[in-house]
Amino acid sequence: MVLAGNLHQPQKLITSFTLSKKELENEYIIQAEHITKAFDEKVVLKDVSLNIRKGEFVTILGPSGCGKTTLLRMIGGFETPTKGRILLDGKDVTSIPPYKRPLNTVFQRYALFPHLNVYENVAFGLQLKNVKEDEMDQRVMDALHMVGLDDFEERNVNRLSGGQQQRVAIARAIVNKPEVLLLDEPLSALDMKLRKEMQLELMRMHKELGITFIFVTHDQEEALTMSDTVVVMNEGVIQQQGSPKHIYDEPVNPFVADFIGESNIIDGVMKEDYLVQLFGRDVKCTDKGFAPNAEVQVVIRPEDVTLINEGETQSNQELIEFSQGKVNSCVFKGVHYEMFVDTKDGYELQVQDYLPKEIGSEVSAWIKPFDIHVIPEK
Amino acid sequence: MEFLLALFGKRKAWAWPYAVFMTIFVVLPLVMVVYYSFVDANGFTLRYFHKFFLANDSINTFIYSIGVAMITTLVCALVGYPCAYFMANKEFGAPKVMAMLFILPMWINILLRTLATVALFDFMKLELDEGALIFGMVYNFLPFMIYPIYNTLQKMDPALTEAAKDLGATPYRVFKDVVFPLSLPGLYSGVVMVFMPTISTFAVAELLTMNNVKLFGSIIQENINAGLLNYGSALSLILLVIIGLTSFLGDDE
Ligand SMILES: Nc1ncnc2c1ncn2[C@@H]1O[C@H](COP(=O)(O)OP(=O)(O)OP(=O)(O)O)[C@@H](O)[C@H]1O
Ligand SMILES: [Mg+2]
Repeated sequence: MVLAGNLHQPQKLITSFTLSKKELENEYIIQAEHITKAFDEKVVLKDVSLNIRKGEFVTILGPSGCGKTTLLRMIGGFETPTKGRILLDGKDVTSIPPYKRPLNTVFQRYALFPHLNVYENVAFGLQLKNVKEDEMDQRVMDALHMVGLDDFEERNVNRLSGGQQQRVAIARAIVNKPEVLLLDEPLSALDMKLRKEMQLELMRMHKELGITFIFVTHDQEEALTMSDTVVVMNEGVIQQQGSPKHIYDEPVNPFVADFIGESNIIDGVMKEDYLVQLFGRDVKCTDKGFAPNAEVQVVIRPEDVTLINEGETQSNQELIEFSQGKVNSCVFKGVHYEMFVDTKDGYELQVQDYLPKEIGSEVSAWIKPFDIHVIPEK
Repeated sequence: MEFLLALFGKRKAWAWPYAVFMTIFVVLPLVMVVYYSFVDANGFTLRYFHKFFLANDSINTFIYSIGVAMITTLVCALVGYPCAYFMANKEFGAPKVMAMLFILPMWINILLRTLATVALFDFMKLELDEGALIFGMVYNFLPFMIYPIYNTLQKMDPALTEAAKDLGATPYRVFKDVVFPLSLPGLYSGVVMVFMPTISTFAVAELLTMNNVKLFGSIIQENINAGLLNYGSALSLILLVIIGLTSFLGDDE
């Protein structure tokens, strides 16, 4: 692939403990340091710090209005932080205008130039850099090929479908071989099927180009599928940052637990290390390090719960019973059944299983200690 | 009753008063102009057009008028574009009031504005000559240039300029490669909106040059006032064709 030619390869495999501090810093392509941003009086980002490694696929995930776009625009150079600074490859770029930054953006609403055709749109950046005609042709063709739009050069961008415009926007950005590609909810206007398709294609492109992707979305499933690292934001504050699996399995607070996938969040008391009181029972768990009798919240994923009909026994030694109740609803969701159980403790427990339970039947709820996640209250 | 329902029950019926109005005040006069241009006591004739093309006087005035209109349009474009640009650009923080100040004069009658200009020139002891004429024309028609340009610039998606910057365009290249090409429709309609009325206006010229400079509009007016209805009609038709052509060229882009 010509495009991937002289780009940095991902450096995920570097074993960081053998590197000096200076080299360690260089491993990060983007560093946001204590960024605060206020529009007039309204504080939109509060002391946000974020390090992004070269070649990483990072997703910034959060509900609408939490400041994702603002953070991305700051990295792109379209907003200046009220406080804090942004480093690119170790150099302070806080006050460098966008056209001098080696980044390219795929905008939320594409922002294709309506007076130019597909070729001219994609070639726009190269023309500004006075790239020679032959090289430009070659690079534009390669970029269009990469997004699956061969033979679209002469087309009018205003007459393309949403998905095709999206592809042109991506081609227009990657043709410049940026060190970092910024994508602001690029798939939000596409229908479900096309969206899934583009997710896979973006992942493929990320692999082939070997550059850093910073991808903004409010769709948690999209974030979990696509990224190496997920950054969860809420109300201008980074809540948690980590691999999708880590974020899903070990949410640090109720917001993350609730936003990333569905979960049951139950009040509990940490009796001692590895023992939590839940619905008035002491249940074994794998968490430790809390003060004795600390008030905590317990996160239980719906798919981790096993329901057993009253009177039946189960043979899995690992499972422990943590509640009992009555099934109040059971709906088929395509792959699994989603059930709600009214527990004797007055909690409505959400459960997912491949086998349904009869509505109205009495059941007991079981779980493996490993699947109980204890997080500090607030 | 059924007939009335059939007539007014349909939406189309609502267009009737408009159609009647248009017929009486637009179509009919136009037909009359064409009719009088080609007809004399003996029937069909091209005599009036012949007369126009033989009379050096009228042709010269005609060319002179087009020249004045072109200069006016050019000056309006050169002054109006930057005005519109600064007004529409949020980075300069120009308040909406500014836009109003430029557009407000459009609401005032053109004769009033011109008389005010004459008074102003008198007061400043400036000569009323061709310079005054161009000044008056530009002053009168500038808002018609600014408004359409301002409109297109304001409606432009700010993401487009950001996209250009993102791709490495300096502020100058952003303007040259994106903003300006995209504002061309506004500029064209500004040109048409200034050129068309300036070529036919006569009051401004008469007032601002003490009747020393004659524009094509004045000639038409004089002929018709002097009872030469047919010749006046023919001249009007010629003007109409020219105006039609300019707006046609403007539409093309
Ligand atoms: N230029 C601005 N002036 C004033 N307020 C702004 C400006 N830009 C953004 N905001 C505010 O900052 C907050 C965060 O906006 P931002 O666009 O970053 O949210 P977001 O996380 O991208 O949301 P979405 O998912 O809806 O795109 C919002 O409350 C928004 O109203
Ligand atoms: Mg956004």
